[in-house]
This record gives sequence, structure tokens and C-alpha cells, in this order.
Amino acid sequence: MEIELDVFSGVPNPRWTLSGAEARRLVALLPATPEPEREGLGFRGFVLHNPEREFGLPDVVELGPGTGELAAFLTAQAIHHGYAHLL
Amino acid sequence: MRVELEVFSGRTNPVWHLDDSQVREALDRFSGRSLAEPADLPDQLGFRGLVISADTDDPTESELPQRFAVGVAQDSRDALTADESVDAVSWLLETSRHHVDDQIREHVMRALRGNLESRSIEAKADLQPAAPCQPYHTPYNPGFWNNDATVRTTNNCYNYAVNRRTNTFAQPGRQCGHQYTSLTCAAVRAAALCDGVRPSCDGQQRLVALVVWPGGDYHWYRYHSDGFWGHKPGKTAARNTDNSGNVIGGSLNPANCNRGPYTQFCGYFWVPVGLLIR
Repeated sequence: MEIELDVFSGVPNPRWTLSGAEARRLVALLPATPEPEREGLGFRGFVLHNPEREFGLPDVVELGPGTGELAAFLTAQAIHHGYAHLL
Repeated sequence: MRVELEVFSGRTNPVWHLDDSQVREALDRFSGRSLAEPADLPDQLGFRGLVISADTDDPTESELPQRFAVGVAQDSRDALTADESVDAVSWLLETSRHHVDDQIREHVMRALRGNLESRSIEAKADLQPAAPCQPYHTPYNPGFWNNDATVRTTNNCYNYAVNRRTNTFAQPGRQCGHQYTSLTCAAVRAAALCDGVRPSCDGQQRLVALVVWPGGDYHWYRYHSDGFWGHKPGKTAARNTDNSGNVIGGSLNPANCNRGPYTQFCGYFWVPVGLLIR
């Protein structure tokens, strides 16, 4: 499973791979209804890439910026991978 | 990095030094390109070229040849185009501050075109006489970019501005073999010009605009016959509104609309109809 930080326009978006434990944590935090991505230039949200369709989820899940614990988890992930300046 | 303006015969030539940010810009403009040597300067009175030389043992300066010349006609494939040479000389003169007076500056820019054309053997597209400007603008058609998920997610702002669907998330300079190596106006501009984007209207061309998020990203807009600008933020949907939700038309344009973090407006450009990008 990979997280894509949806922020750029010309350059491809940054992406990183989740560990098994991180993937399980993320799935536990997913909302019942998906939140729409923000639109426009700059930080718009996160996208979950799930090519193996694990956890019964689709291969692509748009997460938007997220709210509450999900937002905290995703934000921490982005900062951990060096993308704090893009948020 | 030392710059010497080869222009005088009796007097000593003007010499000045580039500061750190100017050295970085020089790297953006000249790295990986085939550069003229000081020996290539024409033997003539008046402006002959600018000779740039490393004068520190800084690793950054060693990315370029120890001594090279700019503003000199060259025939090799990877050389600066005439437009890039004119732009580079103009920029170098700006870095000279009080070392070069206005009269010399004007002489240099006038002489430069002559120098660049005089050694041309084969006809080069950029040195042919400018064709008349024929702005070519088409209606806003977002469905083409948005309705199919594959098209929407694999074509970016550059694809949209140039109006060429490649499904490769096209990058400035990738088609011509010199992709930008930093996210600055100068670097992305140079890469786009290399692809064939024009700095001024000289043919049947579309009007576009370039902006930059310094160190982060670039973004492009394209003008439509409806009287407003369209753009496509990355893999998201093509739109005609700015970050405030206002249509980019009327008094709003890419230079003054809400561009979020893309704080630097680099300028307007023209895209020849049919231009290929990758």
C-alpha cells in the first residue's frame, strides 16, 4: 500500500510505502464515507494506492486532507517522510 | 564565478563576479549544454562574447567547464539556441550592476544578434525571420481532460497548456532531452523553450503563462477563446477558476489571480500549434 500526497501540478506527487502495521492502522481510521479532495493549487489531500485490493478496499481511495485521527496520522506520515513544507 | 565582457580593445574589459544565487542560476542555464570556448570568440571590434570562468574550488562551480563563452554562435546540437543565448547575455548583463554602463549594454544586445547569425551554416528554426504573430485560441473543453480517469490522472498542467495529451505527465524539456533540473522560473523556462515553446509570438501559437512554487513545482495556464484562462492542477480536473474560486478572466489573469503557493509569476509564452512534448 502506498500513500500519495496530492499537492503538485507539474512535478509528480510524492509517494511512500506503508509498512504492514501502518497500513492496518490507516485502514482502522478510514471514514465510512470518503471525504472529497480539496481542489486547486497546493495541498489537496492524500490518496491511498492499494493495487492488491487488500482489506476489501478498492485499488485507489481518495482521502482528502482527512479529519481528526486520520488527518493526524496522514500529516505525521507526510512530515516523517520530509514533506512538512508542502502541507 | 568570474564574468568578463569581451568588448574593448584599448581599455580593460569589464569584469565582475556572480554571487551564490547567480552561480546557481548559471548552472540552471548552462549545465549539460554544449558550450562555446573562449577561443571561439570572433576576432572583431566591439562585443565578442562573455567569458565565464570558475574562480573558486567550490564543487558547484566544477559542474561547468573551467572557462566557457556565452553569446557566441555555435553549430552543435546541444548548444544554446539563439533565444537562449540572447536571454543568457541579457541576464549576465543584469548581474554586472555598475560594472557595465547603459551605452555598452545597448551595444552588446544590438551586436549579439549579428554575432549569432553570422556563423550560421544550416538554417536554424530559431534564426529564421519571425513569422507574423497569429494567436490561436480554442474554446475551453474540460471534458476532454476530466471525463476519463486515465486521461485525468496521467496528464498534467504542461499537457493542458500545450494542449497535447500524452498520458505521460509531460515534463518541460523531456521531449528535447534537457529536462529542468531545478524548480525556478529560469530552469523551467529554459526547458520549455528547449521543447519549442516560444518567448514571444512569432507564428500560429497559443498564449500560455508559467508560474513557479520556488523549490517545489511549476504550473501553467492556457488562454481560451471564451476570454478566460484554463489550467489543470496535476492529476486533478481541468478548471478555469483560481484558488479563490474566481474565473480567471476579465481583470483576473495568471499574474494577479490566487495561485496558492505558486508565488512566482515567470511570464507569458507562446506554444506553436502542434508542438510535441513528452
